[in-house]
Amino acid sequence: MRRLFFFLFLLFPGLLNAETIYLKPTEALKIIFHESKEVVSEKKTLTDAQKLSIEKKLGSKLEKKEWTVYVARTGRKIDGYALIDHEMGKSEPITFLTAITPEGEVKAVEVLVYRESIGSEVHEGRFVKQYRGKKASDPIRVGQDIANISGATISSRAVTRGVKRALLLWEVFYGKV
Amino acid sequence: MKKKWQGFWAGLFVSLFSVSLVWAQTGHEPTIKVSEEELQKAASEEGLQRSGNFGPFHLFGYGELHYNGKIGPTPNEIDFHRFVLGLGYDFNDRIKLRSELDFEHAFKEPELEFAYLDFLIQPSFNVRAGAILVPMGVLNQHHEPPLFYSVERPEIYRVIIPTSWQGAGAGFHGQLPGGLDYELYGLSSLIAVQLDDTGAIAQSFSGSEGFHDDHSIGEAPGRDFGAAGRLEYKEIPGLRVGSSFFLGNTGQGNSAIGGGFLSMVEGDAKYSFEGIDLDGILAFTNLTDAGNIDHVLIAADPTFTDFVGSQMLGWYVEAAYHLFHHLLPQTEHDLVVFTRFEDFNTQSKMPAGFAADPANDRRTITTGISYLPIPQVAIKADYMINWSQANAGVDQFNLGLGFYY
Repeated sequence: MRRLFFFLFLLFPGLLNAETIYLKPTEALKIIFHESKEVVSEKKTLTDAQKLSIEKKLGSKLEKKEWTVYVARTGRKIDGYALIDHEMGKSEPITFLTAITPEGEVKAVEVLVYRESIGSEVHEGRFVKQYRGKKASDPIRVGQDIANISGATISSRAVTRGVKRALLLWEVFYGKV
Repeated sequence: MKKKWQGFWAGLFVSLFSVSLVWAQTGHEPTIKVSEEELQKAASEEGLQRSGNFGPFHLFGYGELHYNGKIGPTPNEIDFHRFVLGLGYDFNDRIKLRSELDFEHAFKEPELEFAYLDFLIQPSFNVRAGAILVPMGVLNQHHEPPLFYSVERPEIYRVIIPTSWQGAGAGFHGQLPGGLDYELYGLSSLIAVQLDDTGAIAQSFSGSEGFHDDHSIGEAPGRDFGAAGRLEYKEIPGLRVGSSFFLGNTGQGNSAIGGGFLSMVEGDAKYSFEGIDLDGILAFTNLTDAGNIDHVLIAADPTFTDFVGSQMLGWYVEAAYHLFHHLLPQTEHDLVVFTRFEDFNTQSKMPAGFAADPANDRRTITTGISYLPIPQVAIKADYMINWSQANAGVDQFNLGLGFYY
C-alpha cells in the first residue's frame, strides 16, 4: 500500500503544487537561462517622462515606476534579461515571465501562475512561442501578429499586452536610444 | 510471484523516468543570486487586484438590456433581460465556491444560475460539485453578453440546447495531454412534464420551444439523473473544436411516460484569423417516449397541440469581421459586423400518431453589429429574418446593451 502511494506521488508531482502554478520563478529562470552562470536582480526606476512615453506607446497606464529585472550573465557577458509581471485576465490576474535577449528580442514567455478556471491554454507552448523574436517595435497585438486562442481571447490579449510592456520597459532600461 | 516482479519493474521504470527528468533539467544550471522569497513575492498577485476581489471574496456578474422590435402588429418589448450577480469565495487555493444568481426580467424571476464547489487537485483532474452549468456547446457555460455578437442568444441555444441549463450533481474536469480539455458530470436531468397541484401543466417540453421551458433545479424531483460531458481542443491558436453530450431519462418517475430517455449530442468549431471569426454548431436530440409525453400533456390539457417531437436537429454557421482589425490596428475598441444563418427543426421526427407542424421547421438569418469600447461592454444591434416551412415568421429588430464585470 505504501508503495502505491509512493508511485502516485511520483506520477502526480502536481499534487505538491497549487494547480495554477505552472513553474516557480526560480525554475523558470533556471530553464530559460540554463547556459548562463548566474542570474542577479537589478532594481530600475522610470522617470516621469519615461513612464509617460511607455504609457503612450502601450495605450494603458503603468501601475508602478520601480521594476526588478533579472539579469542572466556568464562572467561579464550578459546573456539575457527577464521581467516578472501580472496582467488582469477575465477575472483574475495572470503572472508571467518575459525573457529578453541582449538584442531586445523575446527569448521566451512563461506563464507562471494562472488563476482563472478557463483560458489556461495561454500557458501552452503553441501559444507562447508566438512571442519569440518579437521586438518592442513590433505591433504585438492579438489578431495582428499574435493569433488568439478561441475561447480565451481575454487571456490572450492580457498576456500579449504584458509582453509588449516588458519589451518597452527593456527598451528604456537597456536599449540603445 | 509474477505480480511482485511486475510491481518492481513498474516501480523501477517510473523511478528512472523521474530521475532522468530531474537530471535533464539540472544538467546546466545557473546560480540564482536572488532570494527565493523575493522571487515568490514577485510572482504573487499582490499589487494587482481585480476591483471585484476582496481577499478571498469575489464579486462578478453580468447584465443585459434588450429592446425587441417586432415587425408587424406584434407588440414591441423592452426588457432588462438579465442581471446576474456572481459571488465567489476561496476557502483556500484548492477549494473554491462560485455562484451566480440571475435576476431575470428585472427581478421578476430570480433564479440560481449555478453554485458549485471546485476542488482543484491538479490541472488534469479537478472535482466540481453543486449546481453546475451543463457543458453543452460553448454558450451555455460562457454566456456573458460581450462574448457573443447578437443581442439575443442564438436560437439553437434557446430551443434545442436549453438556455442557462444547469443540473445538480458532481463530476470531473481538467486538461488531458495533447491539448484536450474535458468535463464529465453526473447531473439531475430535465423534467418532461411537471403538473401543478390542480393537475394543470406547470412546465413541459413542447414542440415549438423544445426543452426551453425547464427551470427545474431546486424543485427537480431528483429521481432521474443524467450524464453530461464535453471534450474541447484548443491547442492551435485561433482554433477551437468541441463536442458535448447529454444522456438521461426525463420521465422523472411518471409511469404514464416511462423513461423519456433524452440523448443530446453537439459538435462545434470556431476559427479566428485576420480579424475574421468563423463559427458553427450542429446539435441533435433524440427523445424516447415522446408519444407518451404528448398523451400525458393532452390528458392534462385537452387543448394542447404543441406536440413534443421525438427528434430535433439544428445548426448554424456564423461569420464575423472585426472592422478595426485592419482599419485601426492600434485601437483597443472593437467593432464587429456579423451574420448568422440558423436552420432548426424542433419536430424533425414525430412520435407515431402525431403530425409535425411545419411552422416548427425554421430558419433565421441574423445580421448585425456589435461595438465593444472595452472587452467587457458591448452595444449591439441586429435584424433577424425569421421564416418557416409554414411561410410564417415575424422579423425582428433588436437593440442590446450587455456587460460583465
